[in-house]
Amino acid sequence: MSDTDVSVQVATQAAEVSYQRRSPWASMLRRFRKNKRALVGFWMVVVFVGIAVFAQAIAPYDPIEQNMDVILQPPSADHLFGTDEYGRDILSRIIYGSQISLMIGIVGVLISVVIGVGLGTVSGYFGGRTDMFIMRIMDIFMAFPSFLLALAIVSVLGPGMVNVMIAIGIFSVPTFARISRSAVISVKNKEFIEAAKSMGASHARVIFKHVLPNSVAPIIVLSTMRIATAILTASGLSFLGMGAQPPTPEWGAMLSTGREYLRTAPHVSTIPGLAIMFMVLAFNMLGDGLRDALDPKMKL
Amino acid sequence: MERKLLEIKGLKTYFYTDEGVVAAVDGVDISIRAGETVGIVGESGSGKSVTSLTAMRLTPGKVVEGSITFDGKEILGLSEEEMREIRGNEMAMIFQEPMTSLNPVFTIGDQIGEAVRIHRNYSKAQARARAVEMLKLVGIPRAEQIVDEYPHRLSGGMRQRVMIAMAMACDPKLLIADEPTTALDVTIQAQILDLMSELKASKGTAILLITHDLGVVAEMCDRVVVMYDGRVVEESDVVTLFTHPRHPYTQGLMKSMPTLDSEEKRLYSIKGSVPAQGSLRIGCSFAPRCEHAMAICREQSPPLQEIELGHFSRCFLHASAEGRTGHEPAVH
Repeated sequence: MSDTDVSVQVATQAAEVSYQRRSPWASMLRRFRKNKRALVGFWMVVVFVGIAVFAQAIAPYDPIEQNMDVILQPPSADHLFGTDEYGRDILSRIIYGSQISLMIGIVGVLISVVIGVGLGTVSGYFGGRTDMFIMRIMDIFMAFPSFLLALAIVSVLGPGMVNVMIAIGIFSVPTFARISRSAVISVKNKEFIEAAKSMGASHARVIFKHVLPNSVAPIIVLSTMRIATAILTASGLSFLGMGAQPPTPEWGAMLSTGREYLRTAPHVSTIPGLAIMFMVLAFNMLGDGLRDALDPKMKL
Repeated sequence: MERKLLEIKGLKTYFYTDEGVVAAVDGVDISIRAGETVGIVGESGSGKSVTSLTAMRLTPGKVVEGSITFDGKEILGLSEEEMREIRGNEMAMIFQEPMTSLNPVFTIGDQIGEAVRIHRNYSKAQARARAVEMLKLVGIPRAEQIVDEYPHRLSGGMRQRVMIAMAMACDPKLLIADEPTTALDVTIQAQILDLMSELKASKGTAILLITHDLGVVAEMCDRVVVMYDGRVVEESDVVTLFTHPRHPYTQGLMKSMPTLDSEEKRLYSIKGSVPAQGSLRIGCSFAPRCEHAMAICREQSPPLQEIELGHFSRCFLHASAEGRTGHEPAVH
């Protein structure tokens, strides 16, 4: 967090005048609040999360209940987003679909954060042969186009939601390992790490108390952005039939089946497409905002 | 004679780099008695910091030879775990850069209390109380408030006080101070040195003071070790070193200090620069810059000899000058 250096002079001068405590997180929050785009992203994410959490209360229809009387109807007062080829209410399916997309995004990223940050931290902190070994394996993973890698993993594990999460988790691991490795390397040469060691702190203590808290910024930013990628990839996999299986209201799958009716009922595939777009946009804007607030010089 | 607290003997710390082996510390002997202040003086790259880091077993280099005994224990043979017991507890260190030596995401109190939490199993509340006590000891006003403050709100001088409080939290027997005042301005320097002297007097802590500032040495130290290119070139008590420096390098250092009553317009400087690390040493490594260099200096490496009781110097001049007063030390 190099911005602390700048704020040091200001802060020390102001320290005598206004006496209020400010942790590095508080000043980050202040910068985030000033960023309009980030706030829009943040509130969009909040809305999506709200929709997902309260899906049962909000959705006007059962997402998988078929009604052959109202097949492929355009948007109307009864069905705000119209109906699909089995007469299911698209609005309800979109609402329930947000649960699936968010869950895949968050769980997938969580998997990659745990594995990737773990590997990257060990790699960066200990260096040498350990570093060589871990990072060369990560390089091998990086050599594959990430979507193809996810597709390959799902093909091996078999289609399904859980496998999609695992695939997405694995395909982001190298990115997290690299980012956290470089963050750890830049932190571990700071004098306070040397100071902590000279106080008799163990490796575990140095890593968890001194190294990781000072390298979370890029990891937080990357996680947010990776949720967007994960959602997009999950939709892609479902579009190809490798992800959620019918009748699960997954956005990518809905987009895929809607293709057949693109000329007669374009809303069947455009609405899930828009939903994917807005959710990805929301996470990307939030991620950009977090990056600007945490460290404007960060390159991500 | 008092018991030796720290004794470094024939220490060699080498760095293995892609360009070859660098002998950062090449056969150094230093000893410190309990309660004593010993200064290590030398230019950048003379190996003084590496020596001190090796004493804590924190050097990134490799110890090739030598022994380090601390409080009767050979620490080079200790396991990493046993070494951790000593660090921060019996032997503590303060660093040069107070701006970067504190973790920006934790409060001052957290960081001062860390040592007692590690070594004395203090609870959070006890550690905080200890932190407040230490802050008061190092003369920080409003200790009760500062203890919950983050480092970036403090000035450099305050942070250096916090660093000292951190290092002293477990009442160590030895405090290693690596250029503790270099990054501070002059008035703050004096305050920090005063503080260190007070703590030394009240707690009986021995101090190993690493510096390139001869003024700091004169003010603080009992004994001084002058290092050049990874070796000790002269060692004596502080008064002798300032009045009768014997090694040409030390004499050069003394001459290059400005004095108020001097008529000279230009300050003396030692010609040349520290030899590139890693180059093979043949002869005395100071010979290329030495005004008194003789043929033998380029062929053999001079031994460290005791020229007077407690006064050691590494130079061939002492051998050849026996009987005659030889090179008069430059004294102002």
